[in-house]
Amino acid sequence: MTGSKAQTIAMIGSGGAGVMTAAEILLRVAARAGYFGLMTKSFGPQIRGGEAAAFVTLSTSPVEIQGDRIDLLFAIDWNNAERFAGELNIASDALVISGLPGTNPPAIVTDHRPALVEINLKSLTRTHKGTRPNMVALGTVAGALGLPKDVVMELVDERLASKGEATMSQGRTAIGLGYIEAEGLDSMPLAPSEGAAPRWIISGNQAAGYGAMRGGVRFAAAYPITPATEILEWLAPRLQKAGGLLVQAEDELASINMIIGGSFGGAAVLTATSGPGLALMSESIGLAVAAEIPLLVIDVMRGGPSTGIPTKSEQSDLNIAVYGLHGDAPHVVTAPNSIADCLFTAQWSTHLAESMQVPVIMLSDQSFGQALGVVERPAELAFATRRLVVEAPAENYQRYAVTASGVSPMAIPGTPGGQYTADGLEHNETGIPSSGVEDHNRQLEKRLTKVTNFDYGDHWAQIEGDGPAAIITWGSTTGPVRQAMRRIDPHGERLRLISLRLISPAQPECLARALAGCERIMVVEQSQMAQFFGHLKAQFDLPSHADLYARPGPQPFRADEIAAKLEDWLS
Amino acid sequence: MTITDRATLLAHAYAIESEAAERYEELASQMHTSNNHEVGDLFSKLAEIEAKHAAELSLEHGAANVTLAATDYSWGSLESPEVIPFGDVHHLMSPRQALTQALAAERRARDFYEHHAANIPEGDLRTLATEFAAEEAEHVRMVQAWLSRLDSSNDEEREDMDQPMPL
Amino acid sequence: MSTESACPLTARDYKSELKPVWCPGCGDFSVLMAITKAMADVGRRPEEIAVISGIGCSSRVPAYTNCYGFHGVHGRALPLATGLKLSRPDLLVIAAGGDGDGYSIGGNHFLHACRRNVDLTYIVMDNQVYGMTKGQPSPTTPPEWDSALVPGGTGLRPFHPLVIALAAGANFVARSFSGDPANTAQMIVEAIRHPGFSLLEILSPCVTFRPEERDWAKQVHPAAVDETSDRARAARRVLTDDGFNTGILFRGDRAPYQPSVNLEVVSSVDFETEFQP
Repeated sequence: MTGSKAQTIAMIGSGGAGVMTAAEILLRVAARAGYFGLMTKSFGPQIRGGEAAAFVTLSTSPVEIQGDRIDLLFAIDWNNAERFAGELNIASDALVISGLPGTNPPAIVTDHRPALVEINLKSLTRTHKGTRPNMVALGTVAGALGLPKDVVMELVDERLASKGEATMSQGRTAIGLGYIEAEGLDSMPLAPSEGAAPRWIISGNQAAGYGAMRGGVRFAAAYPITPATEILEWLAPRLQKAGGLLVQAEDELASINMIIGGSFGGAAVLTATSGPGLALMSESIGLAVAAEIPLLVIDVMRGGPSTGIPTKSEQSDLNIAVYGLHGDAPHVVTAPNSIADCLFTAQWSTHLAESMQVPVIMLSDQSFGQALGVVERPAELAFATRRLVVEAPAENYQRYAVTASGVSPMAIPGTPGGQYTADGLEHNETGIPSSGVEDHNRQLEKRLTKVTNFDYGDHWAQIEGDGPAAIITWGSTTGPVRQAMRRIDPHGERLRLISLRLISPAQPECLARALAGCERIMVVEQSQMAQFFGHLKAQFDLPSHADLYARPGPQPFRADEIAAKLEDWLS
Repeated sequence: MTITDRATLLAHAYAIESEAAERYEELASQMHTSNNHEVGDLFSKLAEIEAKHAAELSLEHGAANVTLAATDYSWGSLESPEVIPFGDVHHLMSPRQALTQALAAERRARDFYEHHAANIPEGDLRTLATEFAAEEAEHVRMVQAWLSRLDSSNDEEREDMDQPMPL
Repeated sequence: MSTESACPLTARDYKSELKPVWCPGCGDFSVLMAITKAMADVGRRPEEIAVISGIGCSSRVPAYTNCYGFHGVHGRALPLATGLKLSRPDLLVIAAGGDGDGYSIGGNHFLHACRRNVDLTYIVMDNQVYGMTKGQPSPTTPPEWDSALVPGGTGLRPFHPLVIALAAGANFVARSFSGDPANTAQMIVEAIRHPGFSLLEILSPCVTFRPEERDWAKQVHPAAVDETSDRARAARRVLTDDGFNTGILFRGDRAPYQPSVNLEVVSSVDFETEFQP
């Protein structure tokens, strides 16, 4: 049996129809059947009963972003479906299934003239007592895609096990009904999967939390905020299991200071927030710079400014993360470039924080954080993470002694003879407040040296291809750029991708090396004011002929958009 | 408190009907927002009936012109008897659940008039109160009739298949 | 908990060599003396104690002790102390500062520290003025007090830290006067020994910007009645007293908030199975 290498499915519905649940099961079924996948969500402004759309892209090869167009749309109903204009890009050969006969799809769907089929979910679920429309829809979609029915049954059983045998049986009936309906459809099977290498199904927020734990984080304090809350909710019970603790603070001012306290006490710590919370924390992140306290602050970016668009992504917190601290405050800013890389970058960021005794701000974003991906099992990493501490301080122990690396041994409370007062006031090497010229210069120099001289290795960026035209990008824009490059330059002869993982401190020499032999450069980012481009110009000696493609969120980049842009640029 | 004059009775009657109409409209809007259009339409229909009733009171008796200070209404509770409390609805409520609530509201209105009619001495005022009670009793029968015609296959406990959305 | 040492420690062992920046006559000198004396009485070694502060004249106190210290940013002493104590329950953690730091910019943390009831001792040196920025009204300043920033006075009702602490759930509430260091030291000892969040409000005159506060010496008097464990009674008493009533006013029995922690990273924690599809 042949089939498509990739399919993008949308399931929409409202009033608690359960499309998110159905789509998540679909993704898991595909993962068990050996496919890669990605699920993203979109919803109306209501907390309950609102319009919801789940998008699932399934493929025989790794998926970083949603497909350009929707190949299969199942609408349990069409209530306010026009709200998803811009997201429901229906392919012209798409199959659209309406679960509510007699109601009409909105123009955003019919304009593409897809094949339209009706399935009467209401009458099916009434005839078969206890069956749910969303489970029938799941069965239909899974059937149309040629996914193995027994795997769907197995997952539905697992999902409903706690509700008893009767409910499980109703669930299986519903799936069976869906498969029967699928038989009458033009099937659109996925190509056979290439086997079952170990895969994970994970969201960017979970990956970030797990990465930080692998890096040694055991204490966290935070205040809930969309779209970062899932990191906290994932961590809270697991930290507890690992002997650690997550405290819900009264606000972000408290959460950042709680982790400063915990880190001063010797623990590897983190907080997670989004733009508004990062703004509140910035004074105290400066304190951690001055007092040389290791911290990991994860900012899951959302549309800004102000409250902005909490449930949509944007790469517009770069400036506040890099430049938002008052005074000359050297610190580190990192950014993951895929869901799986959220794990790597969080672990690496913890390593950087602990090694340099410095705050690290990791810029993740909503499109990673709240997306669920089926990814290859990430490699085990073992950084030699070690905070430089003093076990037996000498007579005249100096907490802020100037050293070659800039990092000085830290006395952890409880260590006899190591007593010192950590201070946000400028201080001398002992830690005693000083406003003297020499102390200020020496300590500024020390704090800058430790982050600029650190060996970041190859992790500063991910580089692919060696064509003469380079695309420089970062974070969640990397996926669409990579996909677009594969499309227009499958052999990597024309293009080169440089995705920065270390945003600050700048590595201009590394970038220059990576750009060697490049004739043309294009920077791609999701920010109206092109914050990344400005940063590259100011700090990375970006050649003046570099071009720019920047636009704001909330619309995510798709591969076709970038590919068209690149084709145009290359011609 | 006993109602002793026509103006006070009309003020109460108008408040009962207009507040019920307003509440049904608000609940209809809530249901439509949560995409429960079936119950939303039902509440809209009830709002229309109550609004019509209020308009008739006004037309026939000039009731809209009589108002009392908030504390002078003798509901014996926080709200007038014919409104469904905001806390008693749910975004997935079934038409049967909605009509059951509406039936209780109509009964409360009927009981209110009956209670007052019983405490008013014979005369025009008592006649008017009894008339109002009879109208509400008619509404009670109407809602009962709707209930009995409902398709029972639609009654099963509904549950939200998804988690609440983070905003 | 306390580590016995071969020869008993004295107040001097808890004092650093750093010279305070305070004005001569400042009440905070006596409070510092009382703090070091209390530490000696409690008997924990200096390295087992951490003194945490924010910003202000009195917030300079950590460096004047020979303990571990943290002089953080304005208003955030309590969350920092909370994070330290929760991750290191073995330490004795004392937060200290002034009325502006604790009741104005740090007001929200004050409420939640009382609620949370972590085993901390919070020493507030209340001089009813911002001293470090040279004489602006604080939340506890009387309404009519005239100043350059607020000419003619604030006209605002002063903040009542003790009754607010009681309402918010503090487990120990006391008031003392810096001019009575012996009693102040004793109250610090009691505050430290009492489990949970202890607030000790110390009237500590600012002789530079509020010279009239020198008269506090004549106004303070020991509480006429004994301490209580009845929160409502304690609140009524502090609401109706003259503000110069010193002594332990309330001693509660709430269990402190201290989830068990073991921050030793023994091995990588494995949650891999949950990510298998």
